Amino acid sequence: MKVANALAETEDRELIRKVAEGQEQAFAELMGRYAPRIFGFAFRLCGQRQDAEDLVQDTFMSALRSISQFQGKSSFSTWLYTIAAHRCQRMRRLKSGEPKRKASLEAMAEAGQALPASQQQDILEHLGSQQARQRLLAEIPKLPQEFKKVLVLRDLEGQDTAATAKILGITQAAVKSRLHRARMELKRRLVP
Amino acid sequence: MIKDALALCKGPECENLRAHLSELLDGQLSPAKAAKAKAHLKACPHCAKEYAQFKAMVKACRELPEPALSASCREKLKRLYSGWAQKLPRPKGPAKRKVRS
Repeated sequence: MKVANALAETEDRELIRKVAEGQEQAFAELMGRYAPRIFGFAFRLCGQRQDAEDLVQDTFMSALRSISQFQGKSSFSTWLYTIAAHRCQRMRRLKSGEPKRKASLEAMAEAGQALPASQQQDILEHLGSQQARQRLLAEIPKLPQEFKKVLVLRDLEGQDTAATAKILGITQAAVKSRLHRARMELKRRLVP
Repeated sequence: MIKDALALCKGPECENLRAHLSELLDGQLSPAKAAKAKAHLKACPHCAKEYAQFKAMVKACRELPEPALSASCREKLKRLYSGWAQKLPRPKGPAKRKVRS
């Protein structure tokens, strides 16, 4: 696993060098590797496809502007996630005064709420069903921001504790504590 | 039903386990604490049920399908890159020698 990671990081560094020189093929390759993951992260944080796509573009443009400053101290993916987390916070601040759009995930939440009463009560025992998964997807963006970021990075994006701490600029102890609180809060929301 | 179960589940060991569910699940408890927690789970059906649900929820989160990035967004990213790359300073070619006439 470590060998595979090291190889991927070497390939990334080569791609980044070519991207910085303006080679479109290298950018297409780098985008193919990371844009879907950053989009997944953004979509699960904001629950809005359009906002998430804006955030992906914003993140990549921001990364390109400072690509010469990327020193490889962390992996490229950690660096990108860090930028995305900052841009997401900025977007949230900018949008805080705007009326809320009808979120695509709100519709999914409605689908989840349409579960039969017996399944509503025992939703945690029906997590394999499509409706229950939609309910789970709909509840995650509603979690408090600080909990949500940790939960998405750790449990949905598969980042480890150290990488999550680096991306969010917090201690590993804070990651563990927020993750537990996020999971407990999500569980409480699924079984009110 | 779950609320009823939790109402019955308020001993100090139950409270302690609830506070450490994530660490137990993620294998971050010390061996001694993990053994104590597992022994409690065997003895307390309410905590065992709570832990099983907690574990199932985290597993379901980990297995959620990745949302797909649209083709239009990929195209827009490529266009943004092209615009950015065009502004890069052009590499200098070999110096042209002045030809004396």
